[in-house]
This record gives sequence, C-alpha cells and structure tokens, in this order.
Amino acid sequence: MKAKMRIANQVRRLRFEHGEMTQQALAEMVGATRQTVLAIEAGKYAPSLELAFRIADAFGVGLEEVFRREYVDG
Amino acid sequence: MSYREKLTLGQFLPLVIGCAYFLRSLHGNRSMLSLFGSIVVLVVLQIAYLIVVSIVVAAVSKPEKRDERDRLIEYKAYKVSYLALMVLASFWLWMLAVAQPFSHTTELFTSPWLIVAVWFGVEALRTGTQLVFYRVGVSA
Repeated sequence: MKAKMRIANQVRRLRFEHGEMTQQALAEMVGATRQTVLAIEAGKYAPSLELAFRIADAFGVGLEEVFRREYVDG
Repeated sequence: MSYREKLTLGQFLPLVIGCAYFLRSLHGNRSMLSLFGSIVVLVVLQIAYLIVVSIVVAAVSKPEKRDERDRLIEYKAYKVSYLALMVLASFWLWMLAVAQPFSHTTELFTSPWLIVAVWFGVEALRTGTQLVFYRVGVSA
C-alpha cells in the first residue's frame, strides 16, 4: 500500500530565528496574507511551489530547510 | 476572522435572505411584473448593503489582496456550487418529466420564482462553502 505523503514545515522555527519575525511581516515579504502563513504553519495548507520558494528566499535558506516530506502509513 | 472571511460573510447573509424570500413567494404573487420588480429591488438593496459592508469591514480590518489560498478556496467553492446546480437541474428535469400529469406540481416546477430562488440558493451555497473552507482549511 502506498504511504501517504505529508508536507511538514519549519516556518515557525525559522521566523523566531530571524528576529521573531511576525506572520504579518513574512506574509508581506512573500506576497501572501497572514491567514495563509498561519495555515501553512498549522499544516492546514500546502503552498504552491512558487510561494514555497518565496518563503525559503525570505529566510535565505534552501527549500528543503523549510519544507520536508514525511510519509505516513495508510 | 480575516478581511476576506468577513467580506464573504457579508455576501452570504443577503443571499440567504434572497433565497428565502423567493422560496416564500412561490405560493404567493406569481406575476412576472412582481418578480421583475422584486429582483430589481433586491439587487439594488444588495449593492447598497455590500457597499456598506465593504466600508465597515475595511474600517475594522486591514484590507488584504487575494492570494493563492483565497483563489483556491474560491475555485473549490465554485466547484461545489456547480455540482449542486447540476444535481438540482437533473432533479428539476426529472420532476418535470415525472410530474407532468399533475398540473399543480408542474406549475410549481416551472415557476420563474423557483429559478431565481435556486440562483440565490446556489450563490449562498458558494459563499457558505467558502466560509467553511476558510475555517477548516483547504488543500490542493
């Protein structure tokens, strides 16, 4: 049976490592709304590749440092 | 509650009222003139109401541009309302075919008031679905 893929992210940790950046500040940097940043952090929304790259660029890190795939059985 | 969510909630309420009004009018006055008059009055009232809602929401929340999540939610809500409209249209055609011998039922199902009520209902379903997606989250 094929394992289900889940996208985990480190957005919250990276925000705090970057001078406790607010969700609003990150949202403005990447051209999204605060609600979208909140949903991404909560794992309720998987962003498009473009937005994912913008978030990684905002933190100055690679995509894989922000987003990671996890496989869940079932 | 976000700016977009508040705006959507503002759009949802008059659509529910419009749907209820036209459904309630099904058994009342059914002339085309009163239907046309009702549509004009309701549309004018809705436009005025939505202008007020936009001003109030912009005053209490910071206006935000639509982003990809907003667009995805809109797209999914359109899909749900389109599906509902197709189901209703199929049911309507089936009822017309089956209920044809019963004149009172045929009259009800060919009433333009019902068509307008369904239009308002489907739009209310679309905005209601958007509100649900804003709350529970959405995935592509």
